[in-house]
Amino acid sequence: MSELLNTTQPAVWSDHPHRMVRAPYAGTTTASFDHVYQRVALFGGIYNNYWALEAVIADAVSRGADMLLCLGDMGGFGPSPERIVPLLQRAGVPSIAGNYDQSLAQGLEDCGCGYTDPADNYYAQISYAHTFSNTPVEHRAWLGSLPQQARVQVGEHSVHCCHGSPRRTNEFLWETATSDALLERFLHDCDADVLAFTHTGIKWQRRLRVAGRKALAVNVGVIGRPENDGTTGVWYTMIDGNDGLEVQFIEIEYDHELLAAEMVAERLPKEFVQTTLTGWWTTCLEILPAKERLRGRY
Amino acid sequence: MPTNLSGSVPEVHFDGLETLWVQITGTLCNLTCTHCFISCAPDNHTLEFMSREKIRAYIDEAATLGVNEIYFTGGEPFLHPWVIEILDDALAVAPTVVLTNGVLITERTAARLSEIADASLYSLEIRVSLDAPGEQANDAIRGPGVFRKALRGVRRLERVGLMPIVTACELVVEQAPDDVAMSTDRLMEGPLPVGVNPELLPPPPSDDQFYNRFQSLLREEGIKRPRLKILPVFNMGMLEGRRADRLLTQDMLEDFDTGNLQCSSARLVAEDGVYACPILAGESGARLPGNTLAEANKPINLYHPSCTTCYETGMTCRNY
Repeated sequence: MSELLNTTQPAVWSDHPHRMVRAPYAGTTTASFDHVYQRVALFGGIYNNYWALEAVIADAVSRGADMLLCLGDMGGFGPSPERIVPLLQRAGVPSIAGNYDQSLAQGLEDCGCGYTDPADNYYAQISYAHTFSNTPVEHRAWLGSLPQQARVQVGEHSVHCCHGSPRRTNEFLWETATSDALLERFLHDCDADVLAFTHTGIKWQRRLRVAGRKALAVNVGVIGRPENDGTTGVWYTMIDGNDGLEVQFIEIEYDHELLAAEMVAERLPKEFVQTTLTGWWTTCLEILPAKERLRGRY
Repeated sequence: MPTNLSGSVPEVHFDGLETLWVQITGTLCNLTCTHCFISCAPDNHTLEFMSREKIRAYIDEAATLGVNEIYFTGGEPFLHPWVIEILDDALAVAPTVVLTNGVLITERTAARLSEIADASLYSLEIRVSLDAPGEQANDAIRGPGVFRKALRGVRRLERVGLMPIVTACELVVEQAPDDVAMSTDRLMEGPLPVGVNPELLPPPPSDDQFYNRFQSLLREEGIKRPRLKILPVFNMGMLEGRRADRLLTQDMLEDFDTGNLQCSSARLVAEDGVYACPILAGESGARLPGNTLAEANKPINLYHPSCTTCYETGMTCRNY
């Protein structure tokens, strides 16, 4: 797909009829698609993983997705940041901004991931410095043009998409550290049947009831890095308007050894390479709740 | 205590109940630490134990308000005869955290904690307090024998798969930096990635000797994956008057996001009612009118010197 890098870059969002709507929480911008879609692929956390992004796009299209939507964090962790934005543009994938994208666009000093441990922050800063130094200015401008949240109608389901949470881009919504009460509050405030988010790196879903109606909260996972379970695949999420209120998590195998070789060539930390090759997280672990931490090796 | 004479005590808007703190055992503790910010002790009855029924009523009310985390503190929570049952009540509603000195964690207690943790969808986090990565310096603050007993508690929790978080206060760093000096090998090896300017990087974690000394200590104790949180010192309670903190003014809050202060999204409940934050438990100026969380949904004043500590350090009593 190298020819994608040399084509004119479409704006993407302007190709999909939408309007900006009032955001559920102050300080955020929300784009609402005009069309009703039937089968929507949701993914987040590309983390410079070009090969996984390419595989996810192909897989979602082959499964009949009529919309692919990226929930942000294009950079960090992986090699060659300059390849990601052109692929999203060429494939026509509307995206919302994650904290990484906002930091890059605004030229901030750090990724704003929200880590609190000094070792976590050290590795996060190496990763951010690498992505920042290797992201072209025009890509940063494009990232800065992205809305922060999106609403999409999938069949009968209204789906509200954000990066971390509807109220804060870098909020970690882990499965074992997020209460039903908070999710129900979010779903109520967003007036949605489904709340979709990413940021943590591990997928999960929870069925809820809001004002007597069935509702669903779903962390769509990330496609840039395996999810700390000892396997090398990555995950995205499909929501089908005909399926009732549930989603399908789809695992994607990609050429992780090629990615690892590229990471080595760009002198990215060996700990990152190890994660790509083994499926176990080696850094940025201190933000995990106890149960998620126990499931990993480190 | 200094007072704010300018008349412009700043207010913090309440953004909704994110975190519920429960002063389960009031100011009663089996230890008498020299830096305790609410002067807890075996004979301090300023705030008494809370009943399981009263706590459950607050938990139920918090759930209707969208609470996301429930923290238990004291005093020493494991002095409470119903602590396991109360934690189980909380775990039915939200992720739950308990702050303890670790001394009273028996093997049976650890096993029961493991049972209620396994039965819940949510994580149960146990935070064990230590103040120095060495017995002498730690016990000078927390009392004779406490270092060994607390580490025994940590090991017991680790053995049942609870992965406790050791919480350390920076007092020892301030008092005796040489005492904790030690470097470790956690620095990333080799050259930096392509295009990275080394001047843009923070100091590596191996330069943080206090942090690394604790990491080493816990590994030596057989804790394979140490979890650690460092907290700043509050100049109140046992340490009141240690340093003259200035009070916050409205001017200081211009361009400051008060959403970063935990009082914007947390409330503490104690035997005698609701307080603005866990640091100010028992302080009459932080007591909110009424006895329900709904009534505590209102702005609070940043009137206390400890408010300056939160403002300056960005600290939170939460895990992250």
